[in-house]
Amino acid sequence: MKPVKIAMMTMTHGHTRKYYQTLKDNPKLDWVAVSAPDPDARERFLKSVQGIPCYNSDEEMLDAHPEIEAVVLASANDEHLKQVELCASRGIHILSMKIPSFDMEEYDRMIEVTEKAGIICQVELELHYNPVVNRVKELLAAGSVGNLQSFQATNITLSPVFSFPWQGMPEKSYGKRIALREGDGRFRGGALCDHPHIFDMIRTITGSEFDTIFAEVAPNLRKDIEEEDMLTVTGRMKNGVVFSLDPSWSRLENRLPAPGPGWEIYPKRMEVNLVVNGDKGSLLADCFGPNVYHSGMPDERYTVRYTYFDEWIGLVDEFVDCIRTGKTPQINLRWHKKTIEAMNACYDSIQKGEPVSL
Amino acid sequence: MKTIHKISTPLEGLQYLAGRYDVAVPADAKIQKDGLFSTLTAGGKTIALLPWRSERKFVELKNLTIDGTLKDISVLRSCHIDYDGTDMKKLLCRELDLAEWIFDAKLEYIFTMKNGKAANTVARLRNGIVCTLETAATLAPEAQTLDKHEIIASKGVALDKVVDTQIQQNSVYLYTDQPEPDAFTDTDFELYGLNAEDVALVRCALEALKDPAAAEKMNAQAARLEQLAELALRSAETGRKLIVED
Repeated sequence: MKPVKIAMMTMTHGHTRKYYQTLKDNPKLDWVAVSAPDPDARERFLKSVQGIPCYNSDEEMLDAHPEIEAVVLASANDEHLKQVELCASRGIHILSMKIPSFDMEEYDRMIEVTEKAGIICQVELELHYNPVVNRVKELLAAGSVGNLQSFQATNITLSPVFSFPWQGMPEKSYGKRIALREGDGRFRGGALCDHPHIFDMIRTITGSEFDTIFAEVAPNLRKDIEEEDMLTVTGRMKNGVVFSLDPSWSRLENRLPAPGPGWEIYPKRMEVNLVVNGDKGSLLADCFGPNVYHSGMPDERYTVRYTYFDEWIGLVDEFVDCIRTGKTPQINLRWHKKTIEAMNACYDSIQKGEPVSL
Repeated sequence: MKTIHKISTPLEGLQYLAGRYDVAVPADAKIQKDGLFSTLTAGGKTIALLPWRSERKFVELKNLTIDGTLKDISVLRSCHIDYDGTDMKKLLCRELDLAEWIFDAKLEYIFTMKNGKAANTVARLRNGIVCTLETAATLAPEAQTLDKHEIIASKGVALDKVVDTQIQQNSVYLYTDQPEPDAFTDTDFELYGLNAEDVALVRCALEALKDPAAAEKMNAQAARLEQLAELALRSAETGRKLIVED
C-alpha cells in the first residue's frame, strides 16, 4: 500500500505529541510537514521532532506541499470548521480531534463539506483502539454478564488548561461563551468538553442511544478557571440501560507550561474505568492499568508510569485504511454527532437544573 | 459491534507484525517455548530469545533508572513464582538477566540457597547494586504467575505492583456465577488475543528478525545466562559465594 502523505495542523491540541511516534514509525505514512502559527507550539514541536518542515500557516504549508493527502487537525475546537473547509476545498482527508464542534450548525456544515468533497473525516476517539476495551467489547458481545442493566464509567484527568490555555477559554473550547446557569460565574467548555470518550463508549457497548440525561456541576476544585471542572452525569439509554458517568478534571495538577514529569499531584493522571452490570453478572475494567509505579523525581511523590499507551497506532491504521480503500471510519462525523448532542444535553440539564430528554 | 481482530499463536502474531512493519519472515520460521529459553528458528538459524526485555513493565522500570526518575539506586528486590515443574535454571536465567539488563551492568558474584522448589539468591552487580532474587516453582497450571520487581533508590522506589497489593492486578474482572472472578489483562492492541508473556515473545522475535546483530547478542547472552544459572545452582550446592568470571 502506498504510504499516505500526511501533515499536522496547528499543534496546539493536547494530543499533538501523541502522534509523533506513530507518524514517524508507521510505514504506511509519509510525514510531510506541520503548520504551527502559535510560536510556543512551534517551539515545542521543533524541540521534539527533527527533520519535518514547520510552516507558519496552514495555507502556506498546503501551498508548499501539494502532495499532502491527509492532515491531523491538532487545533483548538473553534478552529476546526475553518480548517475542515480548507481541507475539503483541496480534497485532503481529515483526522479530526475528539470534538469537531459543539455548534450543531457548524457540525452539520462539516458533514456537508466533507461528504461533498468525498474525503474521509475520522474523529479521534482512541479508546476504540485500546486492548482492554477490545476485551470488554468481546466479553459483553458474548453475553458474559447477560442483558445489560447499567453502565458506569469514569473519564477523569488532571486539567490541561495550564499547559494548553485554549481549553480554559470558553470561546475556544466550547465555541462560544455560555454561562453554565443563571447566577453561576462559570461557562461551558471545561472538563465535559475534554471527555467525550465515555459518552461514545456507552453507545457502542449498549448499541443504544441516549434517552434521558441529568447532569450536575459541583464546586470547582480550581477556583481560578472560568469553566466547570467537576460534574456528574446520570440517565437512561433508549434500551433501558441506566448509566452514571464522571467526566471530571478531578485530579489536580502542577501547573506546568507543558506536560511532563511531575505534572500530576494524584498518582494517576488519567483514568478510564468501566463497570457494566447485567442480569447475569458484572464486569469491571481499568482501560489504562495495571502499570509501573514509582516515587522518584521530580517530586518524590507516588506516581503511575503508564506501560501501554499505543492507541494511536490502531487509530492511524484505520485512517490510512479508510483513505486507501474508501471505507467509512467507525467514528465518523455522522456517528459522532449523537455523542456531541448528548454532551450538549448535559450542559442543557445543568442550565435547567432538570433532566433532559433526547 | 465490529468483529475484533484476534491473534491466536505467537507465530501468527509474528507474521502479522512482520507484515505490518515490512520485515521478512522466512518460510521455516518457528517459535518454541519449551526449552531453557524460548527460541525463534528462522532461515536455518535458531535464536534464543530474552522476551522479558520486551515486556513493557520492565521497559518502563529500566527507563525509570535511565531518565533521572530514580537517583542513586541501591537495591533490586524481585520475587518470581512460576508453575510447579518449571526448571529452576529457567527462572534464574530470567531474573539474572533482568538484573543485568535493567541496570546495564554485569554480575560480580552470586550466592544462592535452594530448598526443594524454591531458591533465594543474593547477587551484586559490578556497579554496586545488590539484588535479592526470590524464585519458586509451585503454582498450579492456569494460575497467574506471581512477579514483583522493586527498585529502591535514595531518591525514589519503583515497582511493578501497586502499593498495598501482593498479587498481580488485572485490567478486567468478570464476575458471573462463580465466587472468584475471571481476570484478563490485555496489553497490546496489535497483538490482541495473546497474553502479556506471548506479546513480549513476539515483540522480541520481531526484533531478532529485524536486527541480526541484536539476535547474535541475544544468543551470546543466553549462553552466558545458562552459565550464570549453573553458577547459582553450584553456589546452592556448595554453600559458597561464587564470583562471576568473564
